[in-house]
Amino acid sequence: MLKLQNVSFQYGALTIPDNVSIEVFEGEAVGVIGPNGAGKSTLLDLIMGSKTPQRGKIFFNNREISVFTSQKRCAIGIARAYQIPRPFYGMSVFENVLVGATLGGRFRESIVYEKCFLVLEKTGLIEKAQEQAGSLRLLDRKRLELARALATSPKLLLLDEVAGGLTDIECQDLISTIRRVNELGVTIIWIEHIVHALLAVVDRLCVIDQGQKIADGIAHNVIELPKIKEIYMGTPE
Amino acid sequence: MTYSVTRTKNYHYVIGFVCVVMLILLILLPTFLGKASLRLATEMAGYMALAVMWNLLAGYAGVMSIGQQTFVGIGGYALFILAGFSGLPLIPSILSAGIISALFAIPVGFILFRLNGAYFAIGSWVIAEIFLLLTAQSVWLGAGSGMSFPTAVAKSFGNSTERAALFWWIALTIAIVAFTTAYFWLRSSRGLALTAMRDDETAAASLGVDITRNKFAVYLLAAAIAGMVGSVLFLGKLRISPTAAYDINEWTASIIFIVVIGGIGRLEGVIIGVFVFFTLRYYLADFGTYYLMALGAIAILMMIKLPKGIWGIVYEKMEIEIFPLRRNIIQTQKEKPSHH
Ligand SMILES: Nc1ncnc2c1ncn2[C@@H]1O[C@H](COP(=O)(O)OP(=O)(O)OP(=O)(O)O)[C@@H](O)[C@H]1O
Ligand SMILES: [Mg+2]
Repeated sequence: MLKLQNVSFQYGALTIPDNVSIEVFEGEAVGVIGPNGAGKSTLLDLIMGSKTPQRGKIFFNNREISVFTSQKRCAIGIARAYQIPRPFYGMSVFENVLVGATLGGRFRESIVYEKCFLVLEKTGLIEKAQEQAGSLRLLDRKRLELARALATSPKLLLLDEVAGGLTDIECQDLISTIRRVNELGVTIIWIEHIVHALLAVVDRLCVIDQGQKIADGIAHNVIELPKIKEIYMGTPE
Repeated sequence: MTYSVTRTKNYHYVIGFVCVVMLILLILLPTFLGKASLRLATEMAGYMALAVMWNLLAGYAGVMSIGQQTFVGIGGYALFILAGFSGLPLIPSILSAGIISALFAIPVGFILFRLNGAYFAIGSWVIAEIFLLLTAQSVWLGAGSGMSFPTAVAKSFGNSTERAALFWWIALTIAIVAFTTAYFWLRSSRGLALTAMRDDETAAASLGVDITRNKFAVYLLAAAIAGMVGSVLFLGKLRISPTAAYDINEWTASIIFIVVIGGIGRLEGVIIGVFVFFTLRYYLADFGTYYLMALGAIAILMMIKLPKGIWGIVYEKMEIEIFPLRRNIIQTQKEKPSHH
């Protein structure tokens, strides 16, 4: 479904990611881990189109999308929850979600109201639907990221550290929400430092380090690899 | 639990009624005011229309144009040519001035939208200067000294009192068209897109908002309105010259002041801004250059201390919207069905 072919991006002298190839198949849930600054979020920038790769190509359903605008990528079914939430501050939570549902889904506004309420219920934001998004705390902003992305009815959902800071119960809720989304046929790429949450959902794990893909395979095997253990040694997860 | 969405609150019916009364008073204004005051009101209406559009451009769409005088000037000249020298009736001439400005905005926008941020702003100004120079070189447009509107044609609109009333009604109509278009635009799902762009362009794009198309659409509308404003205001003066037509102070700096004072990215703000601006101008105009410096100082202070403007503060404190844009959610508790 999604294919990155030798993709590189240059931050000045820094090339991150550097010559990375990944193929993700329809219906998969792929976890991405790696140390801070490895280039995980940049990878999502490239997939969503807020950055374009200097080298390499990106395909979605066998169609090259390397230079598509974000808007076009949204229209063909890619959606993203940002690591650092980017709410529309002056709009209500409901209206934030409505943007995704009506403009991303390309439906008339009144048709998608129901769907917005459903998404808000699913992400635990319904009580706050009326509040200004700018007044939300970090946790709710993260929920809103997920809610907006879901509202576009994506085929491929990109999640960037949506579980950080949650309590155990909240984390369980999030896990079951994401799992349900995946079971409905949505392909998922999920970047997460909280590995146990990740392992509860994904069957495949990619490891990125210093812009390179250093491992990719069945999640439980990857996590047992000596070099991965080494990278994660000393970290509580 | 079920939910539904409404746009209006009860107090909006009162506001709607007040608006209708005010509108009637505005239409009847020529019966209360003399020529001079009416000309001032005409100017205010024109500025209001420009400010509403600049607010849409910069406040919402993130189009930092400081070159809207391009389209004011084009509109002014178009009117002099069409109504003054080609015998086209007044109203069609004004509409055509708007259309001609919008047509010019297509290639101009095509060039400018390749630029980002500060480059866009500077580019828009450069283009206005180019139009100024081109106009000043065009003998058929009166070159550097400009043109006067033919007296005979002006007289055909009535004596000076009747003309003042007529131009007021035209300017009022343009202001109302600008305001209601902006309002209904913002209320629609296109407005949702614009508001999302106002708050975060990158996020808006990744949620399906077509950034370029929305920007361009606002840019064309703003050009059309600017063209019509230019046409009626220069008609009022009966004279046009390149430096007056493409004047950045008059048609952009003052407008930015109005929008910043009133509250950028808030529809209601411009109404307050226009009154503040004209009040200051009235009291400070005698001080010459100091007046402009004072305006600049006030605008800068405002941007530092109250970046959301007067209406931005009111909105945050009281959550009042005079012109309702928000979508309010109403919760209706359904009767619980009995268990079987
Ligand atoms: N705008 C920028 N200019 C220069 N370098 C940048 C910029 N943004 C990110 N980088 C660098 O690119 C590298 C990759 O950043 P990225 O955000 O993709 O990492 P990440 O894997 O998502 O890290 P984290 O786990 O902290 O979120 C980092 O070393 C970072 O310093
Ligand atoms: Mg990151």
